[in-house]
Amino acid sequence: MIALALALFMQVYSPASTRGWDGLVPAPDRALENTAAGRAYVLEGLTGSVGGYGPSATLLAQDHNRLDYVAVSFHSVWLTDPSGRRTPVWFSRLRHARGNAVSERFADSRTCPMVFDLLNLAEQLERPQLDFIAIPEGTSQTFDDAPDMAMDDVSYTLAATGVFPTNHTRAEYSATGDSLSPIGGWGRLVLASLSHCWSVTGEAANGAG
Amino acid sequence: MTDEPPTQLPGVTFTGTRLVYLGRGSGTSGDPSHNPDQQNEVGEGPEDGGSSPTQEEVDAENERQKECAAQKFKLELDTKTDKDEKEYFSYTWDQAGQTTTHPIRGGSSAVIQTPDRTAARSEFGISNSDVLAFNHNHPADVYCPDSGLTGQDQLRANAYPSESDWAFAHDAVLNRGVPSTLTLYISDCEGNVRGFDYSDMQRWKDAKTRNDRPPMPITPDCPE
Repeated sequence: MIALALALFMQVYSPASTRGWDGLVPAPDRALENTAAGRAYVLEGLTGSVGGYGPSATLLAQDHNRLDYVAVSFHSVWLTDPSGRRTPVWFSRLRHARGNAVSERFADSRTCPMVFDLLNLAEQLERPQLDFIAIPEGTSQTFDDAPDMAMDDVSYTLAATGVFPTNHTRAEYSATGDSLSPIGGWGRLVLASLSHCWSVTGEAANGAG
Repeated sequence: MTDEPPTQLPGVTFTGTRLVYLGRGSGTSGDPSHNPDQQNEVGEGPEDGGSSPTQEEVDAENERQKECAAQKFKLELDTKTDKDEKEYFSYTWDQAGQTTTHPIRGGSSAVIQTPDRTAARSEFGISNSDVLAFNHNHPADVYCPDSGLTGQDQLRANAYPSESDWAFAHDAVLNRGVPSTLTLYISDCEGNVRGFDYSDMQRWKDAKTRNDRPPMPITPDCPE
């Protein structure tokens, strides 16, 4: 976990290395009709069922200027072994579109434990505070109240189920940040960590018990 | 009345005196809220026998001045050897009634970040409410590599402002920027410069989503 945290830190604070995900996701291997269909295919991957439960969390990475989009959804299933013991298995589905060319891959926590570790990290991510620019903080009313933002950057969105901790009511959580944000760092880590895990078949999804 | 222009900081360029439409028959002037002594008389009222510029003509002249600043950005950009891999920018702002721009600045990394913009505004004394335009480039190596996309798709996407470009403009407007005058000028992969008014943000976002043909590049008539 320490190594993971260090990797996350480096991802967040190394902006020169954060542009794009070339080499981190499988290259597209088939084509749809047009670029709008490619992006819709990726967005559908955030909510579409692939068996099991979920998705419990999703990552959407978008580079609008390159027409390059990636979605990773995290799902769970319970598998029963011959002795009757049931164990949870997490699996992920990746969808990638570049223009109208798309690909789909799967990974699961039995062969790629990082799937589970990345969700643990997501639970520990710093979460943003609400901050309205037109409500100045204190006496300051300068333009510099606007948060740091890189122009023409890629964006990362984490959506997940959550909870309001004080009264334990359910929440749907979603936040978007650029590559310098904690969510951007986590998103880059997801894509880098799972880059060797992707398979063309969804074995865990098919074996839901 | 004096013709003295406002103090010009080293390096900045004036591309014209901004006009203010004062109503039918009243002619036009430089913005009296900035410098009441400095008038830019470009027409006379009908009662004087002259033809008073219309609101549209005043808007066109002010637009031309902003476009000349954007064109100056492009000319300076073309002198940068790393322009294909790095973003550069400049602000255009209203300094006491003058459309003003500064020498282009490079981002501290491949992309322009908040500290880059903050440093420029601080050096040239640019307040957010005076910003007229923001000029920057979309580097060819970043956005138009040999990607396997059809060139037309890539070029069209690149010609438009990105989501974060609009987010920057939106934040600026929320913090005392003027939505009716703020324009983003983008120098795309092929070196064309196009203007996108903040007031038309949703229209341009929708056009990009549809992959519509982007607007014609600017071709302002600017003095040497």
